[in-house]
Amino acid sequence: MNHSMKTTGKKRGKHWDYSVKYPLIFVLPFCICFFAFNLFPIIYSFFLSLHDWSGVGEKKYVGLQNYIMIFTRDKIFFKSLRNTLYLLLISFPPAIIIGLLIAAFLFNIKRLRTFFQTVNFLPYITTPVAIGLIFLFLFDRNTGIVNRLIEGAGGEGLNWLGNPGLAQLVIAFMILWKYIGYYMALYLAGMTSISQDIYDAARVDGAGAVRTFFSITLPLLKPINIFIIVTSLIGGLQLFDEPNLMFNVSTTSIIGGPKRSCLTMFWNFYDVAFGSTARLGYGSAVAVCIFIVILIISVIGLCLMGGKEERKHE
Amino acid sequence: MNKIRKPLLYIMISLVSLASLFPFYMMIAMSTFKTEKMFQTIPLYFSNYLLNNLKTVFGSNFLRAYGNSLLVSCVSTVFCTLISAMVGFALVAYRFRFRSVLKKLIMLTMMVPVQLGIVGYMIEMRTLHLTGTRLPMILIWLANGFGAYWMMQYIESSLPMEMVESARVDGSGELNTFFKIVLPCVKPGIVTLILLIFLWSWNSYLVPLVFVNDNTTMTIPIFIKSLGNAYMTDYAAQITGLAVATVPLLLLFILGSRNFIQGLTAGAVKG
Amino acid sequence: MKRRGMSLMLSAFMAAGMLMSSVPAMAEEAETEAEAAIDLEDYEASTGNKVTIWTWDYDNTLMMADAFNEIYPNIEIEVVNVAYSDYFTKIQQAVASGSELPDIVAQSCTLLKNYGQLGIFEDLSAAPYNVDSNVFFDYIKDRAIMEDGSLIGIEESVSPSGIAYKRDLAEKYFGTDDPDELGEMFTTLDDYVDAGIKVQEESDGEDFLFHSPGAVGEMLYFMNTEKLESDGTIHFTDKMSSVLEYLTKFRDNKVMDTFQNGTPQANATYADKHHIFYPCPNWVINYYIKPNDPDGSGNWGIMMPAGGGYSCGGTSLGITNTSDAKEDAWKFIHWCLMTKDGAVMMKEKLNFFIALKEVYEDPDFLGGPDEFFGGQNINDFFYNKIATSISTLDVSVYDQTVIDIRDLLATAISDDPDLTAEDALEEGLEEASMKILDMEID
Repeated sequence: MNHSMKTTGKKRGKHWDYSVKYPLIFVLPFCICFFAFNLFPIIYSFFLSLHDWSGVGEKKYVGLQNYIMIFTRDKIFFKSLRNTLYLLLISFPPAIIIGLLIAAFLFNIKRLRTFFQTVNFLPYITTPVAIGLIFLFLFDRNTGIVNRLIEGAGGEGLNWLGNPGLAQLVIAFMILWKYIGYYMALYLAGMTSISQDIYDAARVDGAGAVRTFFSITLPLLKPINIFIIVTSLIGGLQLFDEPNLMFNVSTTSIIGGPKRSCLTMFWNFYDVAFGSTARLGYGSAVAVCIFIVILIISVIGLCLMGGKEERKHE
Repeated sequence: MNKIRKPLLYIMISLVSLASLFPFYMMIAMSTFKTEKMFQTIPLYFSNYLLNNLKTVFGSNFLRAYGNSLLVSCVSTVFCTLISAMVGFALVAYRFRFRSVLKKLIMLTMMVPVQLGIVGYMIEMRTLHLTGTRLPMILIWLANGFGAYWMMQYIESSLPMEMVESARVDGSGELNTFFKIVLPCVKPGIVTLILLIFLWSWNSYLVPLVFVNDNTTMTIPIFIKSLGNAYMTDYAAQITGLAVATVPLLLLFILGSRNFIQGLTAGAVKG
Repeated sequence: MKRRGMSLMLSAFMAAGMLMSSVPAMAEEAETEAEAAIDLEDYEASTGNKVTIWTWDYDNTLMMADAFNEIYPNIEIEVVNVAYSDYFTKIQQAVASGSELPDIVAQSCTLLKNYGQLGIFEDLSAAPYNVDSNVFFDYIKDRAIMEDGSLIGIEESVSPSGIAYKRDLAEKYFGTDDPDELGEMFTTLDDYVDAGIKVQEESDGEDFLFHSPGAVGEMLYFMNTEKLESDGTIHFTDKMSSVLEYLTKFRDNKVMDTFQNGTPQANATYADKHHIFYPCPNWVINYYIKPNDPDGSGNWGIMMPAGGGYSCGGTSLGITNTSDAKEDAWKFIHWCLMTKDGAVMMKEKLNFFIALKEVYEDPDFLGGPDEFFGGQNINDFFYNKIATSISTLDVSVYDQTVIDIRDLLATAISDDPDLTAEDALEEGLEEASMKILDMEID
């Protein structure tokens, strides 16, 4: 604001308008809400993480003890971190690649394109609760359709939801199903917006389909790639609904599925903070640790986007 | 060659679409079954129990949960979109101090999920005496990092600044310009954001799970989970409720699909 | 924009109002507490506030409320259904987030001490409730009493447990459907193993003795009445080693099928022709058997478990100290769980056995044969054969934690044929050491 005060003369009013007053008016709602409902809770969680508190009674200041506990004794936290990253790695990259490949094969479809795009969006808009229930039904060991088909073909049914490795695969499969169509539709949209002239020029130069794809289509899709990578990172790191809904359905439900193999960071956090032993202080410490993990990954993401920014200014 | 390829392409995309549709189809097929019968057959065809399931669903508190979900999602979506568009416009149209700081901050918050602060948020809502109302489920959506980033990108790529300049010359106030010129001009971007925010808040699970404690504020995902006795889960009724719950999303996406895909293309590709 | 601003302002006003009004309200509360006991005979009176109950046991609670309203027509009871797996979490969240708690909380017995720690319950042994816990059976009277001597809830049922069986299948495999004869056939856990093998062989692997590792694990766990905690030590090994040993044995010999207990799929087995025995605390009848096998009347029987009867589960009802309908809530709890009429209703409609000693002195109380159970007098069986032999029930803060681990291990055992009982125990101990931080574990 000092800066604007220094400017003098008639111009000052207008300058002030456009560099302080209006920006402030337009930015303020976001900033206020951001501070009040997003930033403040996180800061307050950090404050809570230095305490031992179950939500009732006095908060007891314990310093960094919660953090020490996480790093020395809490193997479950690290397990949930590993699970999340593993689930992320085995599901999102294949979903992106498959989505891209299908889109590449299909992008010269003209008729019914919007229809196909909408249809392939459906998994993405289906409520996670429903997806959890349906997959539970498909993969049940004794009555599920998948095992009945396997048995019908003469094989032996698998314990999809009771075996740690298989349970992770089911979750990954669920993510694949949810996102492939979505990514495909996005890529399809991106590809069709690339000017046909470029392709014509490439054909004249004698470039084959594969080369055209790698040296023209893919680079031009960089913005959409970044968009997809960033949004799937956000989604993947927050994974909670689907595993929780699949493995937390009955009276003897197990937190995190078989051997806690599907316990994601968020589920662990939710369980620690609100589960059978309510420890809001400790839960907050877990949240702060997740925050740091995500921050590190975000900075990498930011660099990616920063790269894009520079490119544009060139 | 093209003659063979074209139909092949269509067959392929039809197969992919079928895979996408399959669980969706199952949801509808399953909602026509009686729970007990569902486990005895493979529910790929339609049975005759749909009306009974609908009766179970609507005989419970479903409509109230439905209304709550609609209210929460609509209010969240409207304000979130407006706030996002405002901040996005400011970041494109003005050069002000802390502009680049704010930009970086938005990108960062886009990736840090707000739910991480849920413990602090819960205590904050308790202090403000807002627990037991629907507001906690709305307020958390107001400043959405993704929304702000999205609008910034979209406005930057598709709003000709000359239009804003000439409006200024004509003496139009900035707020007036924003509502009358800027917003209509970036309609596809807005529609896209509306659809996404509505979708996300409609399907939101963790926040209501923490805040919903009674029938009056229950939203659909939470309601479905408690539908039926814990010891005899009425699977079919749950699925029926969910199928009904997907209808608004379906309508929105079908109505907005043209704008949505246009918006995604422009926002994500040109950006 | 306007709307949001308004509602924010409104809530700010409300907040201010609440803050200001809280002081006199508390003073008032103290006054009423000093008053004499609640007049339970006043059937017409009502505070005018409805009594809210959260429960996972929706149908049963509705029946209780209906029966109660026949006597007390002016007290409105609202029953809210909360999934069992979310129940304790919901209460905790309500406490921490300061949102409204129900007037009556159903306290699952394994979490009693955890509920006590929340500090949200009325002490029912003090005025105006004045419950003397000596009126209850000795083995259960201290379970809901906290360290500070407060009584936080009244037990709904002493939860005697037998084994329910399908008569036709028992006849087919064991040549009899008589509960006494069957009881004599199965006196040790190894008898189940032998029978399970026989069932498997004769059915070509189609039929199983039990349906779910989770259910079997629960039975084995509660059969062992050893204290889980004493002097700050959790006796994990003592409590779990026999559970794990027999779970692995049952798995190796296919004595039990692989259903996940409590899922719709598992519940559907109650009506099939492939699973014979079900661990059956009295509450299982209304929760599992009747709703899932509505056409099975006459085909069920209840027999003595190997090693004698045991008590499994149980729920207490407590009143929250923030309730605005404490008197009415107490009338409900008192009538259902501490009067003779209530006892009859609980037994007839829910198959529940309240913990009040005196009602059992009446020889007619237990009634006659039960149609659903093929004419067997199950009330007599549950009470005289099982309830009277239950030994002292005790719970610690970590019961539920250990039970969660038990379920985790039961699933792991049923999935992995190579997992031995020793390995499972080791895994369990490690889990326990991560979850239980302030006690010794052995």
